[in-house]
Amino acid sequence: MTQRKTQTAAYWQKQFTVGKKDIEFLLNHILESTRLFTLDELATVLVKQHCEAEEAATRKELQRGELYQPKNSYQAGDQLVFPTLEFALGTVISTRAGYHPDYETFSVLTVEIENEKDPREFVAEFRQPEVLNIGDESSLAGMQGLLTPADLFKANRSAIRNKMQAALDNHDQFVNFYEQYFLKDLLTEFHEGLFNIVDAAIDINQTPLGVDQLISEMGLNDDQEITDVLRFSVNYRLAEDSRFHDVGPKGQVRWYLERLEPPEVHQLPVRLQPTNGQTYNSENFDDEILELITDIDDETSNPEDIAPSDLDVNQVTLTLIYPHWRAGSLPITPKTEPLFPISHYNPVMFNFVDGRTGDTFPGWVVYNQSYIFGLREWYQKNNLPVGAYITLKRTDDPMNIVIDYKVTRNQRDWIREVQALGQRLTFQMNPQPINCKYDDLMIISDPFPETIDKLWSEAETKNLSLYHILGSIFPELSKLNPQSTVHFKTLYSAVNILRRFSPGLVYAELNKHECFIPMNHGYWTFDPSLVEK
Amino acid sequence: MARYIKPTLNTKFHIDFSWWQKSTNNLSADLRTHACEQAREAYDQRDPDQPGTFDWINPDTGEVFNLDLLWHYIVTHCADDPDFINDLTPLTTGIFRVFLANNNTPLTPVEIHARFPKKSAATILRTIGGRRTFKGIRPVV
Repeated sequence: MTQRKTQTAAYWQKQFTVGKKDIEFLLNHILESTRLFTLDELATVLVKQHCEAEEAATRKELQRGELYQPKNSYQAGDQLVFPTLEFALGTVISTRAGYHPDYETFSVLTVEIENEKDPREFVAEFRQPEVLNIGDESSLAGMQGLLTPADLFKANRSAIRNKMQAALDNHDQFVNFYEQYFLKDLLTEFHEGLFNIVDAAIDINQTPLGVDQLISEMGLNDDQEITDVLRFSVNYRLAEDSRFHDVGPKGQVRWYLERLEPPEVHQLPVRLQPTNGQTYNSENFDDEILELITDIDDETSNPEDIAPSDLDVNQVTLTLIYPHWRAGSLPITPKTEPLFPISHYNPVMFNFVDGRTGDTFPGWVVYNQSYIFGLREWYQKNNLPVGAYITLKRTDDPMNIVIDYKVTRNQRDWIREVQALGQRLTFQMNPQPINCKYDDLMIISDPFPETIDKLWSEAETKNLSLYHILGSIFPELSKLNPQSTVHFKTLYSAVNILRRFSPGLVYAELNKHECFIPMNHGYWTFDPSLVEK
Repeated sequence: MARYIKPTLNTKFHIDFSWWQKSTNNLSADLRTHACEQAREAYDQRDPDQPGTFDWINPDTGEVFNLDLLWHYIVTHCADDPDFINDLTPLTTGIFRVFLANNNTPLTPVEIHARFPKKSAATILRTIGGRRTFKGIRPVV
């Protein structure tokens, strides 16, 4: 069926640009309304404007040539308008007899389309209209039932928003605070000295404060109702001042002081930094390994490889891995994400509630880097090893998340212990006091993390490859098992002591080299004679 | 070069014959790997007066692509064979055959999955929806 170009995804995703006329139109629209607009509202207004412009242009374009109809006969030199090519104009340069075993005779036109390098061929004199989905309907009448501007925006939201945002951000008259846009000349004026009052108010309270409270502290509302424009003006100006950071979740603005925030909230902890340039393709992974990847729940896995939790899940249990144990963090993955208050713009400050004691302490959701920070002391206080099961639970308040572990009676278990031996890692089974449930395949105790740090630093400096690391730790781990086999999860857990690799990468690397031999149920064995020199 | 538009599970895909025309890959040679014995025999023993190519017509646009006649023989002979697409068929080959069997009617990854349930719709989307084009399978623009 014939479509106008503004009715197609191709137009909004490829051709649509926000030009000078569009900017002028949007400026006037905000000026006349004198209110805040979301990006979506402005985009819908502009989509409507483009649709209306095409309405007029379509009628004009149809006058440039004859509307192409497969049933008609054409000659070289004829000018045709192709509705399915967004009303492009084409010139017939030759015709020939067509052939299809199932169809009656027809002809084929070779057509040069404007702005296209190579000619295309089209059917003509075609007498079996039931075969084609175009025909007599390829007229303006076939254009009825158009999508509304709101529907068009909804269907192409991402592409339109990106282009709108880039254009508005490049124009000095538009100002925005997150999703809302306004004009610079219409902002409420106030003295910058008032920001010192904001600084003091947050410092005294030692907690993030909302904009309404800050407006009252600044004395800007004169006991009158706070308007959206005043809120926007204060938020916009505070965001421009480097002393203040918004640490609220999506939909809530809560201002805090940059100097009170831990540096790890703005700088990805070194232990979590993924090894550069490492990607993997999970196309050939079988269900068993995909289940293991989901079970491990590593934030560096391809998100589509991890089965997500239900959005309304109340509790998630995950296994603590070495990089997070060392950084005092946890991953944000499709499984854990639904539990946390998030913002796409800024780290969010929330409260961990200790499931053992009920004590609260600050936690940070760093959504853009996929980690939760603030657990170093909690891990230490509870003597939790790598491999411990950590449980996260919702509460009635989305800003309070319970963190807990599965307590066992104090017992001495034989578990893997890692130590630095010269330039390499070595592992041995030692009895350790353990007070939590853990993943037997991933547990590793590290009594001297500072010495391991030196090996980690060296591995980073020398840019040790995953293959090299696997080759050095596999013999160490296989010594711990009478069958000399090592489970995939154990290898993944141990590799991540030295460098950050996703489980998918570890699996892909194991499959790549003959010296690593797969056994049943996720176990692998190692043949040093097959190591590639 | 065309800009990349990220497809979704609801994006219609088809075999883009213009990709094959510009590619160093040869569609005729590729088609031979998909033809069942019956189709190959019928093709090889066809009337010597019958042309070796035919004009495939896109029913949505009227655009014509001159294809090896083997395409037509595969569509008419192999499409109903239960082994034309089975669990042993590799992923990209299976997806290509789905389009071959339906004479290149556009389908979404969900619809492809219904005809080739070996892999999930999401895996099919990851395979044909990336920047690399397999066997000319691209979103319908």
